[in-house]
Amino acid sequence: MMNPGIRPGALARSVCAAVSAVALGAALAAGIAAGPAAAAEGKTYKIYLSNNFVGNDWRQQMIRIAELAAKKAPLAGRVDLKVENVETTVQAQINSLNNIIRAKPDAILIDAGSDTALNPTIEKACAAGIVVVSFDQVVTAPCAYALESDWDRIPALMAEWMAKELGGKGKVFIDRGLAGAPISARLQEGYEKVLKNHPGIEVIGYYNGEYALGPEQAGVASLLAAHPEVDGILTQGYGSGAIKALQDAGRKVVPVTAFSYNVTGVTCAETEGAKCILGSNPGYLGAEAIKLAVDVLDGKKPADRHVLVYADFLATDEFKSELYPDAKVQKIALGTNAWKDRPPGLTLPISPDWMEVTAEEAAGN
Amino acid sequence: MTLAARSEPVAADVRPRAARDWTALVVDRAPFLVACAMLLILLGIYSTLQRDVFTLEELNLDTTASLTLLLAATGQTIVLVRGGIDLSIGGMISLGTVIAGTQFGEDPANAALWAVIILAIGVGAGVANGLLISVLRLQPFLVTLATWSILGGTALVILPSDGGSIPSGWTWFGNTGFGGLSTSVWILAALVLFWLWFRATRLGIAIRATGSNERSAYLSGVSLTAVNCATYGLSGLFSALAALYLVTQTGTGSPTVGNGYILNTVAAAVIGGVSLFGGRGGLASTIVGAFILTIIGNLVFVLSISSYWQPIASGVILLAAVLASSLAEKSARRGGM
Repeated sequence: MMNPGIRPGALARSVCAAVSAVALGAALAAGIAAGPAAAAEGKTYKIYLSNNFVGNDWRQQMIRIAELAAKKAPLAGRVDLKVENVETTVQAQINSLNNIIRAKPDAILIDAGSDTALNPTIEKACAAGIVVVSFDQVVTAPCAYALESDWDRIPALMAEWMAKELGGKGKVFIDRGLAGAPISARLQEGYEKVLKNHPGIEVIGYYNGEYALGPEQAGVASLLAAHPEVDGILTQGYGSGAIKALQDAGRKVVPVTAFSYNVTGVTCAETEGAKCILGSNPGYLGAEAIKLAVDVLDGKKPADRHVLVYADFLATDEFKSELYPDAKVQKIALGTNAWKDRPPGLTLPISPDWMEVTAEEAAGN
Repeated sequence: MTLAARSEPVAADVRPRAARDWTALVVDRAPFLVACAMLLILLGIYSTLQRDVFTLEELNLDTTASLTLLLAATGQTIVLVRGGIDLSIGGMISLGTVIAGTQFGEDPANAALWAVIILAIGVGAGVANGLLISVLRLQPFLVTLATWSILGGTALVILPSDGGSIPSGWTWFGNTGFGGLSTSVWILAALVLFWLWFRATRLGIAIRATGSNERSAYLSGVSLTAVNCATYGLSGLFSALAALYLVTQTGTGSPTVGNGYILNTVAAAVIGGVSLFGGRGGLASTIVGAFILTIIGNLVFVLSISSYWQPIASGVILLAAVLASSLAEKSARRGGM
């Protein structure tokens, strides 16, 4: 799954959340989260993280990094973190939140199953004086902060990169993601909006990658049969499935945009002639939410309830964006920001700029 | 509708309300009594870990947490007592919230009108289930699986993802209270009153008799078609009510929200002692079952263990309930009942 924090639509929702030993262990570890480094300055805040889904790599990485952030500098000693993973139903998350509100924490962080259905409960929390930070899948309740990746910047910058790779001229395929998922439409529109400024680039085919390797490879393969002359592929998923489809069809590997999974980074680095750029919905979003909550509790409130997170891009070569001159693009380097011996589903980059996370910590092994 | 041309013999099949034999009564009620004991034990444990458990505040909180499930489970209980099962509950709840979210608007009169329409759709879909089951002689499981899919699909067509809005008056009603008791407790009280009346009506008796022994009920003159239409119609009605209450909690339409309730309604009923094979159990069982599920959730929270232990604990309790029920039936048979 691309952008795995987001479970698009009913299909994913119906997937029964498997009980994960990793998540159980991680949640239990939350109980002993308060590290030895006692707070010399500032107060220790009691913070709950309510997460409605653990059935994919992204959510597990998110929980791991959040727990790490509570133990490591700079937040060590400032946060007493408890993680509440709940079943995927709205009712389960509402009931869990009501229990959390009764425990009177300083802040609640929510990766929500619905952008609206928790609002009455969240308003209850706000009324009780609790700071509420929704992140990843954010909510519309005006009293809650909404912390997420900049979903405009990600597709725009990657489409800009593609146009530059193709010298403003060529034929491309676009991944439509998952039918009916709002994020899919947003990414597709984001790609197309930028490509429109390059009249030499023609979109000759669409497929539904569904944020999984199989559908991506099958979708690209069937398009290749009809349009062998493709010059670039803009995926919303792994990208490595598209590269595999090109290789299987005996075609030269064309530039690919994708999301930053470890497997993608490794494939792009190792494949002869591959050109890739990877956008990221970072796995440290939960840690960012903790930091935001601590800042708000310390009195440092952001100007707006919407707070955007700008994770670095990864690419096979240096790239300087003209649309987003501030955007950082890391060059993929095996052993530094992508690892052959780490799980394929690991989301890159693993560290926010304010905390050091090792590959081992991110992968949880 | 004529339920029974000759009503008298039906009563012979009703469970031993008037049984003089005490042991027979206890055996028949064993699953329910076991469930009550489990609820008390869980409450006992919970009260050592959480302050103020035996207070109105706790009653209000737990009833609010349980009421959507309880409303839907009331319909499921009627169907189970009839000896059937209703999976379409999931689709109807989703559809109900979606219609509410998209149509209620801000005008209270308009919202009230659409609430009635939602209830009518619930009854209509339920009666359709009953007709398909009776007239075409199809399995309830398969018929309601199909209607679940149709209703749930319709919900997705109307609203592809969570959205719409519920008027603030509506959500206020669901979250306020009167005389120290939350709205949810008052609704639960009304539900209990309904049940006390309903189970003694001719329809209530006919449903139980049909679930106990369809053939003898039929021979006694009960119209199976009428019973099925009424049973599933009521289930549809209660699913619609569940949807109308759920939106007071979520304030939104959710096209897939109902799916989580299907098996939980069955679990709540069975944990409380309702038999999957018809004829035995009632709303008291289901209320106890639903509260057991809610208290398990609370316990998992105060124990600070992963919430994923909740379904595991629920499953163990469910097994215990089924075991108690099966032991009771065996000893009843041995007792020569």
